Amino acid sequence: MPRKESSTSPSFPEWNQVPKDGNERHILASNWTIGPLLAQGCLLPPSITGLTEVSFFDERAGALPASSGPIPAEWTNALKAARRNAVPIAIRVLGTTPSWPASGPTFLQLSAVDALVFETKEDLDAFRASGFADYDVELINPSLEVDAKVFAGASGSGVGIREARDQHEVDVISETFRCQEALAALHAVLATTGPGRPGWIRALAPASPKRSAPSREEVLIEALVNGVMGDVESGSEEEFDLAALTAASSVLLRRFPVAVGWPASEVLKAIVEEIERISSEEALTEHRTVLDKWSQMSLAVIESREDPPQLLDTKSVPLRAILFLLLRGDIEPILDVTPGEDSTAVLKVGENVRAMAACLAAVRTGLRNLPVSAKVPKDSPNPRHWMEYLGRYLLSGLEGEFPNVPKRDSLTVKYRGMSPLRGEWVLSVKRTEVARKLRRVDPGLSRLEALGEGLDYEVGEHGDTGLMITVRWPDKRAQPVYLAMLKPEGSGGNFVRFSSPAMSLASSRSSGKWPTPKLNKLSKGFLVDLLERNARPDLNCRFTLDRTEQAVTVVVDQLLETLDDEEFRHHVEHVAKVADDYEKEMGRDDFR
Amino acid sequence: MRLPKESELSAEQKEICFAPSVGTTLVAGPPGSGKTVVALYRSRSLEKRKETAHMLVYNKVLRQYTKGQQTFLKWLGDWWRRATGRSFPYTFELVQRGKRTWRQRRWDYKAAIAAIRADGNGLFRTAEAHWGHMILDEAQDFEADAHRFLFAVQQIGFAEIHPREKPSLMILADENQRLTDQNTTLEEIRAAYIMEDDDTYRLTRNYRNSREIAEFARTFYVGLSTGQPELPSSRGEKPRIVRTSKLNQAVDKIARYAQAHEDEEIAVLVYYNATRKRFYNKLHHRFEDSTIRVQTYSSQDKDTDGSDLRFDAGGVITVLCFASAKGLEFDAVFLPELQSFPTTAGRRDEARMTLYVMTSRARRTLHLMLSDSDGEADVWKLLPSDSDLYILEE
Repeated sequence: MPRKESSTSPSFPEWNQVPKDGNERHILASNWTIGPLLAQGCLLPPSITGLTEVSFFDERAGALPASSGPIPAEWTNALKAARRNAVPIAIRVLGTTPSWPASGPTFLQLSAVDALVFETKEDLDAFRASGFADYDVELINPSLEVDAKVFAGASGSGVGIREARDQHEVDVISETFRCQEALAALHAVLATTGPGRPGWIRALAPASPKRSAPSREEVLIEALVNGVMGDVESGSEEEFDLAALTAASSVLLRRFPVAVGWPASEVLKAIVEEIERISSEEALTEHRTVLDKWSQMSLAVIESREDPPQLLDTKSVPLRAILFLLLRGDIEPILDVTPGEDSTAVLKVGENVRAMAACLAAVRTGLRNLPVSAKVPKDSPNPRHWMEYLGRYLLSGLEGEFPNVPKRDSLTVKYRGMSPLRGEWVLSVKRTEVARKLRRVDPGLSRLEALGEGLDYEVGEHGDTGLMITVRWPDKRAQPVYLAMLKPEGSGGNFVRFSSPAMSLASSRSSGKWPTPKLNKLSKGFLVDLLERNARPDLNCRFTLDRTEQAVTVVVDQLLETLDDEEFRHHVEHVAKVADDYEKEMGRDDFR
Repeated sequence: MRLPKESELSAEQKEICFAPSVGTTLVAGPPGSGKTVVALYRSRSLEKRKETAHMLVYNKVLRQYTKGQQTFLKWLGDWWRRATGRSFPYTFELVQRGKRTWRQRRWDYKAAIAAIRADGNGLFRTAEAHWGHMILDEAQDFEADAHRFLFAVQQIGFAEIHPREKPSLMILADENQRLTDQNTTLEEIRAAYIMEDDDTYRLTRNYRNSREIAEFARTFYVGLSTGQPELPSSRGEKPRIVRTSKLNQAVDKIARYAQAHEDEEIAVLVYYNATRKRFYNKLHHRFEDSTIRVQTYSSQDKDTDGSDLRFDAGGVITVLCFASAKGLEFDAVFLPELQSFPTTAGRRDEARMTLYVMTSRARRTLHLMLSDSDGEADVWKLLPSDSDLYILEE
């Protein structure tokens, strides 16, 4: 039977085939059991995802109740009798699916749904009007139909309700499923609420092979993922911040999922114990004071014995994110916060702290329980495609448990720049755009760009979070000057760093390592010479060894608030001149 | 109030959410069993279907809390006038408070029922008489005649309409929370509407409080017929009994909590009106230049009708007397100055029940506070003997 083209046809064409036997295939669901399909983009048997309390068939069954042709009438009647106000819903499945064994399908993706069929118009209207925080029928926009015949099939056409899974097998798959649900939730939250900054975007998208070093955010998110997967052995973690994130995500997923509630002081205690367990002895000795101080302060704040500290991005983001999560518990109040020091809130929370706390909360919440706003990117041109993608993402982690699990589609992220500092990332799945993320720029950096443009400099971007100005002289020499924001702890205001590279310390083999082999070879006399230069009264800047640039650079810092045109021009020209003169002295012109 | 998550609704809540919007349905459940959640869900579903829905409550504070359109009494007067072109029948009753005595107008439901019986559906002259769907929260607070009156409207006023088309009612009630003995029991409500078993839904589990708070609160419970809700499974912090040396220490503690939990709805509940004013003034002064809002209401205060109270928003501290807090719930509840809470021997059960209702207002955090350095306050005798149920903070 040829199918009509639906306006909500799925983005995965392999499903769009006609069943070989010509029968339409259905999975029997109800208003009680359809939730996961819409809230997490796929449906699995209750034996895996949790019992639904609509026991019209054995909920321990390893497959979904399905039929080739109409659903057996006795199933429909049993379902209606199982619970008051239970309404049967037949999910009509697209084409012949590879995962349609004789014993019934073990999962269903949203991308395989052709239509949701109801027995009566009243049932359909009631379903259409249902509104929940974790799914939105209008947003998913499935094709909805009424056809009473679909629910009145002959007995014997159904499969999938008889063979119960072995309990041990169920436990194993359920554990894997919970981990994968946490990862899918993390993935969704990174896309919806992760800051629109390059580091965060990289944490969302697959690593590019061209890049040498991962962003700090990638490293932090990887630590969090390790906690979800339970990948960290006792006494193995070296870095304190990473140990804290790994410990927190592991504890949240395994001991304090949403259903358990939120005894904050108990959660804190469990996280501290887990940090102690996974940290290496050296790391723990080194950080014992910090850990004790942080845990005591956190407990005092939880118990309202001390005022809460400000939670801006100026110090350890992971520890502050964990404290913020301890105070909020759930993801919604975390996302309700407007981040930044300019926020009018009493408790000021940094953008990165908020995002990291949301990631941790997502692990605890899982994909299905996430509110729609945290699951579907704002202004998503196609929310259904995005949910289909998340459903496949979730299922792909169960590859070892089920046959024919679909491969994970890769999410591609492309930056679309409009001008320096302005642009957006476009998120696509199989060339279909599913979301956009506006680039977030530090307001200080925007001001610097405006100052530079106003003084007729050629202003471009440098790295992920900086600007570059090229100073040119009549002798055809040129020198780059980098501008970056410095955010010191406290309320002393933001600083701008003007820097210009004078001598490269990088080598092809160093690839981000510090100190570089070249730096290690420098003589003491060379370094003393740099210090002596810094002491010269005519030098309004200083020579430094710059880890990020892997170079000897000339820098000057200036308070942003008081920076005017004249000072801006002076600093740019001065560091450029000093760096270029140094290059000349060395007989080189590496930076232009 | 946020929309519920489908994944977090219990089976008994789902049954109600998915119930058809026809006829009359009674939802009975003890405090915290999620009656208001299902009522709001129902109200929003009906709105989505572009059907007329009225969510009506008994008192003004509750009206603000549930974002109910009106109190029942106000709605009734307006509706009757539109529907019949007449004023709702009323009588006067003498009210005495302290030394003051005055005459108060009171709706005469019996006279209204008689008018409906006399005129049948001829009484209602406009289409507006059909109220669509009415959701009546805290319905135990209405007198039984009000329920009989609504039934008369449905059955006599709209006698010629198909049962599925008649004005519908969802009634949410809990006889544990009756304001006075003149209010209605569940049996009276069922009798008023001649309900079948199928028309009644029961919510049995506690979804409001954390398990720790529910366990603590139930120690004050003095049983009534519908009993207590089953204990929740969701965990939280243990309640704290905080011994302060003066009132300002309690204010400091509340203020610190509010700063760290700007997302939460916080309540400061006190017994005496004078204490309410003191806490309001001190907290209001403390947060004058801040985004945290401090609000109060008292039925004795003629300057406010509670319409400016804001609920369902974080960063709000609501200071109320016990009597105004019934039916409300908050993320965090502070009960300061408990040393002066009257626990007179003859009214001990009443005092315990009051503490039960007040402590069970808290969803996540509960602090009982006593400025009682010598530990001789009578209220200590009412507090749980099992010290595992709370943390004592000196």
